Amino acid sequence: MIDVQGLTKRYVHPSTREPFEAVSGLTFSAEPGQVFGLLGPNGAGKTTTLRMLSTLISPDEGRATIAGHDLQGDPAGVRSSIGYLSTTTGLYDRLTARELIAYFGRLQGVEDPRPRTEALLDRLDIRRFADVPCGNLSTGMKQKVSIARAIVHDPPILILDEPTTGLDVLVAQTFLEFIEEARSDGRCVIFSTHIMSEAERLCDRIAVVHQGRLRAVGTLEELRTQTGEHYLERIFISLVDGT
Amino acid sequence: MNRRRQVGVVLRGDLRYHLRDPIALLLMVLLPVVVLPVLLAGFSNYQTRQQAALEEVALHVSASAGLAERLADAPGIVLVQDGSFAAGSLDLEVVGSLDPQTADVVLRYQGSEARSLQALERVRSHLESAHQKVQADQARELGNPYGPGEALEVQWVDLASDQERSGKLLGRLVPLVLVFLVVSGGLYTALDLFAGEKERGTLETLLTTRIDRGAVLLAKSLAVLSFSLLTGWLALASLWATVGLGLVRTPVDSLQVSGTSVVLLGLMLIPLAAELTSLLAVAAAWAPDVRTGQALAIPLLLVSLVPASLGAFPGVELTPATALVPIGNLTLAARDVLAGRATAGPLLMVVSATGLHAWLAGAVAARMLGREGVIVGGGSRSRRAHERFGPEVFAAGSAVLLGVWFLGQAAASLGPLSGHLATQVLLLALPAVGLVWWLGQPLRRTLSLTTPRPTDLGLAVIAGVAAPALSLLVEALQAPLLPLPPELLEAASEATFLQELSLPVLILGFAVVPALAEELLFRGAFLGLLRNSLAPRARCVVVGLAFGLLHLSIYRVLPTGALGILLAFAALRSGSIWPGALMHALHNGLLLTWATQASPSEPPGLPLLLVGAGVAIAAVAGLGRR
Repeated sequence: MIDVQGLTKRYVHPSTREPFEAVSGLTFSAEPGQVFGLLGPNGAGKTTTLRMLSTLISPDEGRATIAGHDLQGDPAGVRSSIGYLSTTTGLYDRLTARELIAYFGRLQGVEDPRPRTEALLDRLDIRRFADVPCGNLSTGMKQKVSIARAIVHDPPILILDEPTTGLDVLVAQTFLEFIEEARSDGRCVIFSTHIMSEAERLCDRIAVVHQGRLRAVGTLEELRTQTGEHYLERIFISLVDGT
Repeated sequence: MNRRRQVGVVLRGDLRYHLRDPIALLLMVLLPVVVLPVLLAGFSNYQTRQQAALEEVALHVSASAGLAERLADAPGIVLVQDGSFAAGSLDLEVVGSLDPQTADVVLRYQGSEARSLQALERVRSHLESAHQKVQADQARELGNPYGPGEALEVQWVDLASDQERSGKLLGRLVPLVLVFLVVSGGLYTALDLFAGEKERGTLETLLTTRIDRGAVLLAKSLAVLSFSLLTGWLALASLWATVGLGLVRTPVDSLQVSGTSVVLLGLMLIPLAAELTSLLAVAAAWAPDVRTGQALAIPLLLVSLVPASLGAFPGVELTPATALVPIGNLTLAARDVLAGRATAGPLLMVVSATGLHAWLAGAVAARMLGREGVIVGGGSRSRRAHERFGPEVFAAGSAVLLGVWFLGQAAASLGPLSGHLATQVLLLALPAVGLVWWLGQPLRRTLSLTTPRPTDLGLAVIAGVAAPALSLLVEALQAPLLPLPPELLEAASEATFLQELSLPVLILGFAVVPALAEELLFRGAFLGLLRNSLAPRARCVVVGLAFGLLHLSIYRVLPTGALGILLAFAALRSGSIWPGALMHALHNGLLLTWATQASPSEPPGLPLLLVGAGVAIAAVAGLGRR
């Protein structure tokens, strides 16, 4: 479902003006019904990787296939197959929840987004504030609307970039439940985090990324075997310290 | 979903979202509807007071023979013989006689000019007094001091049409205000739809939908253009209604704006709004948030008002040169349209030039907006390596050319040396560094500020000493086709500052400083930024000819261009701008030394020039070799 081969992204450093690799030769794959976690500290290249996979930025080297669509050959196909969400993604304050979900349905090419919108209003328990402008919603409500926006076109793949960062426990819980639900729906979920407990609880496979490079990839058990550590936090430190 | 539908979905979404913003409605509906009538009332009041202030000023009047004597003692009047309304040396023409039998006077004036109206008032009252005196004298002679005399027959001939009178008043105000409103209407929208969406994080979500990125950016630009135009068109409609309903009292009795003028101005706003929209979109999209966007866009608004104010200057007319000035050309054309004196040719030229500006600005905007670092961010404005900057360099080159053309003249008022230095530093050197910095490129490498090898410096000295031969050779070769006009030669020989300044100062100001500033811009920034866009030889030719064009004289394009090409090769071969800067300084210094001699000798003959040019080229060819 997601197949990434040697993905590389170079930038010119804003201070030194020298080129550097934000992501260097990343290779991994993820399957339907699987939650794949990208685990790494800040600046590891997680966001850059997910931005490349969602076609927001293009790789300088390497290739990737998302739900059968080539990342660079068919970016529109890739985008129609993914639902993208991060803590930095926002909502249109002056649109109501109902309008916003329907608008994104149209953007995703859904001919008549109204039935799907109404169904999501019920499924995510949004109906009671469906006609309130998003700017007037609480953080938890906003996150529910964000989830609805991301899945309005029923994508087989969800790309979630640190979706729980900065959220309180209750709102974060909504997200974690949503991810589990997506997995049971047979979706492929790729999400980045630096919160070990989340990765431990949710991920079927984990890729540890540090300084743009893949340190290890596998199930939690495989990583335990590889490092000889039990807890994910220790596993992570041992992989990153080996730099 | 085809592209048109994609653009339609995003555009409708943006329009609906933006129209729900009360501030947007205030700026785009209320402001344009109110601002022109209010300003028109204020401006009219100012003009009335200005007319009153003319009471202390002597006005120029020409009078036919019989009347000249009568007007000789008229207060506030100076009689002139050969005045002209067009040149501004005549305010009123009086023809006729005060002969009691055939008292008949024709007054020709310009109702669009405050001075002319004031002169009319003075002469009319003076002539009436004079006429009464003539009648009284005649009555006394006839022994009938109380007999009724014949009234003075006065014909009033206003040389200005109603539209000219209106146009004079409106032309100073309306174009400037229209530009301001179009920019302010577009500015708020651009900030909301580009920087605002980035700040809110909605742009990222939009770009991960099925909609193509180009369609998103086009739709947003169209939304900015729509609101920008809406603001301008509402202002025009408001002006039409204000004048048509006579809501404002003005010194011009028959203030009028024709429907044709309004439609024409409305159409002219389209390319103007497109041009400004592109600039605003770039400023707004480049900013990571609204606050930074405002910081970038407000100077843009102020800068746009500088050329926009051209229409308010009485002496500045629409000419082939001013028709090329971005924004200013349209304000001048709008002034002519309001005055009813616009003709198809200049208008077409203005619209074509503005269309070209809009296309150029749009092309740069599309590239800027398409750049992922601008739209998505990605590592605090980090940029991709190996980017191409062709359009940016072209736009910057055009801006520098226009800047030197217009601001250089203003700088010249500081004096020949100070003006020249100001132009070199502010319009060439600083933009060179600023452009490279703005485009996120490494300064030292892009500007080729690397240390040269000693052998390269030695070769540069040889090339620099021989380089004048190259420019003189090209000048000599082009002379049969493009001879230097005598007045240009005369002006050059009368350049007194060459004698007034000492040679070291001249060399520092006109050889060393230009060598540094011009090399930084042309062989540094332009040559470096074009490295991924053009092959090395093509780059040298393009940069060299651009250097020739900067000297703003058709006679210097090729001679200076040839030097520019040689300097570009020098920079490319040596990998540093310093050998070229040394050559440039020597070239200018030697020519200056020659020009400041008490009796400059004749330039060398063709054979010697050929040898000199050959030496210069050979020395440059030797640069960079180990």
